[in-house]
Amino acid sequence: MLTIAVAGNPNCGKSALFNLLAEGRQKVGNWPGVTVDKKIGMIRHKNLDAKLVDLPGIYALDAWSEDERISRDYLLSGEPEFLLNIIDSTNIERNLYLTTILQEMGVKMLVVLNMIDLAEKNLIGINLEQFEKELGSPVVAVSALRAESKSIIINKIAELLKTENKPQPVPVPSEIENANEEVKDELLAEWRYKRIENIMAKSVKKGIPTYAESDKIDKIVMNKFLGIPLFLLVMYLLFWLTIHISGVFIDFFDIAFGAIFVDGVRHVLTSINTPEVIVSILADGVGAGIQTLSTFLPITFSLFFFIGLLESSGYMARAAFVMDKVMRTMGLPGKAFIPMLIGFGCSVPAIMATRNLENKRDRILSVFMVPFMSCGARLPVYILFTAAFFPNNAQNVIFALYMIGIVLAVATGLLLKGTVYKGSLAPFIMELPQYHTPQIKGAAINAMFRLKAFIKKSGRILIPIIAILGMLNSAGVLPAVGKSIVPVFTPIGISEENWQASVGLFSGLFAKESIIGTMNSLYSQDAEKEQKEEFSLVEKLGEAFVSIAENAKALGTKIKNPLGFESSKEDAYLFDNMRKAFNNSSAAAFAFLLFVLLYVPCLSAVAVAAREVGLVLVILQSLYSTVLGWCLAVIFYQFVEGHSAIRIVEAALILPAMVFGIVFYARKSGRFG
Amino acid sequence: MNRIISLNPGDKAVVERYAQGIDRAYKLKLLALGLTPGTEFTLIKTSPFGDPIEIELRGYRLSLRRHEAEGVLCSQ
Ligand SMILES: Nc1nc2c(ncn2[C@@H]2O[C@H](COP(=O)(O)OP(=O)(O)OP(=O)(O)O)[C@@H](O)[C@H]2O)c(=O)[nH]1
Ligand SMILES: [Mg+2]
Repeated sequence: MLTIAVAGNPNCGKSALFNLLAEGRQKVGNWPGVTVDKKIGMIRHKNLDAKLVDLPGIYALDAWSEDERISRDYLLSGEPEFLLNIIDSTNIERNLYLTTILQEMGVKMLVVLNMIDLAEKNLIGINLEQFEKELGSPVVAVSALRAESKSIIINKIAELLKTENKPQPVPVPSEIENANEEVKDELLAEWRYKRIENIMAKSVKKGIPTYAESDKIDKIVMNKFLGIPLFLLVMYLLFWLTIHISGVFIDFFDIAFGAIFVDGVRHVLTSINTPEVIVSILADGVGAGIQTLSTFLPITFSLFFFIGLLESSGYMARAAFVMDKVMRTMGLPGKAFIPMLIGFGCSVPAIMATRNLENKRDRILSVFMVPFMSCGARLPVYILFTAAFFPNNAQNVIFALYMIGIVLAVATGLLLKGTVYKGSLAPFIMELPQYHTPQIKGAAINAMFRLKAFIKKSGRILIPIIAILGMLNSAGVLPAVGKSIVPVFTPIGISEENWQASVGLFSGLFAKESIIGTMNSLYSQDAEKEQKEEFSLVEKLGEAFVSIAENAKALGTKIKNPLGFESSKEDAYLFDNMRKAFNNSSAAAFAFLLFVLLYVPCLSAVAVAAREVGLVLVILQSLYSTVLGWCLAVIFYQFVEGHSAIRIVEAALILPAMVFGIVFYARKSGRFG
Repeated sequence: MNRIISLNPGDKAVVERYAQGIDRAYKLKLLALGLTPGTEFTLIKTSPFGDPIEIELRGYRLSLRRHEAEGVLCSQ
């Protein structure tokens, strides 16, 4: 089958077109360096069957960062038989530099002038015929936002495949080929750009200044005094909207999934005389687990939706630009700020995003810092606990946890910068794109994709874990296992009877969402059930739909209890059990949350990080953050409530010892790059 | 001969040549981005914290750190 590679500068819309052509779901965002890996899709069209490969953006074939290397190596591998060279029509001149280099490879190629909608808006006049002639390669002009672009591109490729139309490389003049090494690079680049300037002069009319609108926005966003407060406001708004909008739908999922998977399953199983043990495992264990997880569907969707809006606006590149000086104090370039922001959604793509950094050590340092950003999976744990223990103060407590994570990330950066990395910084070269109107549809598609991933993960990891733990529980094994781990956690305020909490932490190793699912089903399971009312699925589902309307109406007055928890009997009952288990101690609950924030990121994050920086470093990172989390949780709990001087001293000794050990190893091993 | 470091927002300058000792990888990237000898650019603004800077060339915007761009010699 024919292999087509998508090549072009960063941020010219390669992935957007890839998604259109191959019906892919690649992430799209308005900053350079979104795609960091080779991605394969299929074009299935009546005129063309082909393999399409999306690549990270590059400016030339000399590679700087990991993602550029992937692109270059693939383009030079000889595997692609056809090149789809994407060009940003609002920035043709610079984009053509790569085109001229690709032409020299002598592979069949179609040049795609993308973002033609923006070029039209900016009154850039392109004489296509003339442009094609001057350039010496076939050209089409499209917009990834328009559906008809798909057939325009595919038909053109099909047409080109029938001819023997290879680009004719323009030979490099011999005086440049033979020039002195000192000046050869300059002369070659100058010669290429001269050719491009010539093409531009003959076929492209300049439009209105393309950055006029962006400049207006930047006046505010990058203002000395407004810039930072505005950034904080944007982040606050992002979480506020996420919590409140998902709050409208939470009861719906809670009631509907509860009706189907708990009451419904129980009803059906009981009616066919299933033994009570099995009913209990399936309905109250697995069913309750599914019910809890389902309530996080709206949060997951909203969080990724709003992050997606931000990503498509062009704000991320500005954040990197503004934060460069701040990040530099930690020895990182401003670009490293982008993975941190993505980390508020999920550590996995955030760790992937570090590939865009040029230095290996910057990538390692970022991988150490990213897990401290509270990800979307930790948010539900915070929400459940704050609803039970800090009902009047939930937002502040959650905010405090986020801030603690950020402060510790910065501290980690400073620590490693001060001890392990003393060398120089990678140079900073970054293109600043224009602002785009945030893509609601694109953000929704991206969020749906994340949602599906969450559901898949639930099906494959979370629900089986909850089921197994439920089974172990009813077999009476779990309390014993839980109790055997508890001693580790008694210093942070988890009492011996509260073995459910340590089992929850254990299940959180696999994925942090499962902490909630597990604890919920464990806390609800072992207490005796109230008398069940007559079961009616239809009635329950009706109730579920009504809840959406009611919550939407109540949105304005719900600030205090954002997630509408404690609105149902089951929740009140669950909260009661949680408070009992934690001996009504909000200090213990907070210490628990601190530990949840900091201990080992989930298995998928560990696996991805291992691929990026190697297993040894990831184990070190997990060790570092877990010990850090434990020590801080102990110190906090003992100060506020436990009042055991020995425990405090113990933690206060372990912490620096661990830090010292890691720094010592880092220096000795040379693994940190 | 001028250096980028001494430009103010709004100033235009033309790239003359690259300093002798400049890191080759850095130079290659700037060349690919269009900062070839003879190219005119405008310093648009500096970041709120003073560095990096934003320049406009060939119709698009690029950000660089002042002291790293020292090796780009230009005239006003
Ligand atoms: N208006 C408009 N926006 C577009 C078009 N194509 C892409 N975009 C937007 O431009 C931005 C960059 O698109 P991507 O597809 O992520 O670009 P890319 O070339 O894959 O970028 P990297 O992966 O960073 O190399 C996104 O915000 C897109 O929504 C287009 O034809 N018109
Ligand atoms: Mg991409």
